Amino acid sequence: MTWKGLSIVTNAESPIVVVLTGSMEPAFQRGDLLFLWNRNARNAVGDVVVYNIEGKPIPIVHRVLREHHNDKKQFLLTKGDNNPVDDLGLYKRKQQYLDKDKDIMGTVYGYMPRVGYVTILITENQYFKFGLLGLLALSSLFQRE
Amino acid sequence: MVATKVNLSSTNELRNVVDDRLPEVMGHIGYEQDFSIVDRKLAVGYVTGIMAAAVFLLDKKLGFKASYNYVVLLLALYSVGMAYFYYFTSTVEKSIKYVGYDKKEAKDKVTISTEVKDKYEPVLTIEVNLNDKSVKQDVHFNKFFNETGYLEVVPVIDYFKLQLSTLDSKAD
Amino acid sequence: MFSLLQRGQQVSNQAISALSYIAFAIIALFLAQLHFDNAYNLPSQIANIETSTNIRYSYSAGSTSAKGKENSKIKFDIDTDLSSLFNWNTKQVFVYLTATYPGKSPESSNRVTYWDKIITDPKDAKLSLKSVRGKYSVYDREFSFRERNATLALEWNIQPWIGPLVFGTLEGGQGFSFSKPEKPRK
Repeated sequence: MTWKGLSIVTNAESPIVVVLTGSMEPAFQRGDLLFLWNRNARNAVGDVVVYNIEGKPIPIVHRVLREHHNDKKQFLLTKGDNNPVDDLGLYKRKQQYLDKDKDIMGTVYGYMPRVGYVTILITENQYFKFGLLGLLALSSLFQRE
Repeated sequence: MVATKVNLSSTNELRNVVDDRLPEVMGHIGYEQDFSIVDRKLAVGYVTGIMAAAVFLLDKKLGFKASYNYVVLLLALYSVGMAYFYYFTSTVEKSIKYVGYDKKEAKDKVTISTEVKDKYEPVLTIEVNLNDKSVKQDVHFNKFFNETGYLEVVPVIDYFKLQLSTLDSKAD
Repeated sequence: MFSLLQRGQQVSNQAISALSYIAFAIIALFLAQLHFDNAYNLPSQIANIETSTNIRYSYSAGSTSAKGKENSKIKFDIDTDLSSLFNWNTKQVFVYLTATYPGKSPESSNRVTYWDKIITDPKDAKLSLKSVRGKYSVYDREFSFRERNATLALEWNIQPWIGPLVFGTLEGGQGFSFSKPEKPRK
């Protein structure tokens, strides 16, 4: 429930995310923890944002390269620090910008290194996943004693 | 009833075992347990639990944006529920472990509270309340438990019989 | 005290609270240090600004029709010292050159990045670069820049080892105007 509460307070579906790709190196490495806030009306150039593209499984964490806004909407173009070109090729066909209100899931305001690597191990590394499950099973057996 | 072996170094466990056996002990003496406080606590617990489940279900079904307002409402209600639960356990329930009425006429009400004042001392503070007359006493755990860690029911029954007769003969 | 599990729980609870206090302390010291080092008032000098505007026809240059899209490039000199931004908690500094210009309506505004640089070593914090070519060819949502006036500024972002991302702008912004699109060479 604390997670849900945090999600409501930050207005972000996932208030804390783990970095999964290397496209923002050397700033972010896989396994780093990012804290998101989503109550800002607009993003600024230089902000690191998290966005989803329809059909892509994982959210992307990149930096805002350009922004264009009026009083109603804001359009953003993003790019990963470690990528040679901007994200235009990642967006949907004919989509040239991200819509701040629709596409942005949160802006990164805080950072903690490496702590999230455990979750990557659990989802990607088979040995780790079964080893951890085995440990949990063993510990629940011994608890009854 | 299956006898469980208690870790003699854990005053928590010692107290829990005594609390669990109270209905049986009082049954021998002639009282029937009354569940109103327990029921009320369970009701609050279940309602808050259901609200928590509703939050997750809503989020799953409707997605974050659509369920937002409902989730805020449910979270507010959940906090109220938890606050009430906390208030209930600390004021209404406190350390009351047993409430019972005598089997014969159901007019004598017995309330027993137990607590361990210092978790490093194996002493149980027992308060017995009979129709608004009460007596509080510190009892060392070794009066009820044997060396191997099992609770002996007979000393417990004798103790409470003694307390209740003392209270009965006390001047009003 | 009573069982391995309880001792384990006690240890982990205390560890978590200790770590959160340490994290708070780190963040507070980090931000205080930036203030003391005058990180928020750093000067910069941007000079010899040369812009060029061309019409390009590829999708990656913003073109969605046969008309194409005006793209702007820049060349500039930059002089600044970012050493105050580097302290024990600085993992990297991301410096970027932005141009801010208005849109069609009074409430609209645009900001684009021409150039950026990642600095991980404080030894590289003094920038004295001449005739730097912008990395990015920028385009507007409109077809043309209409030779609008723009303000150039150098902004920075500190990526900490632990803590909040810090942003700032250097003083010394310069104005320029988008140039008229060049005629394509025959």
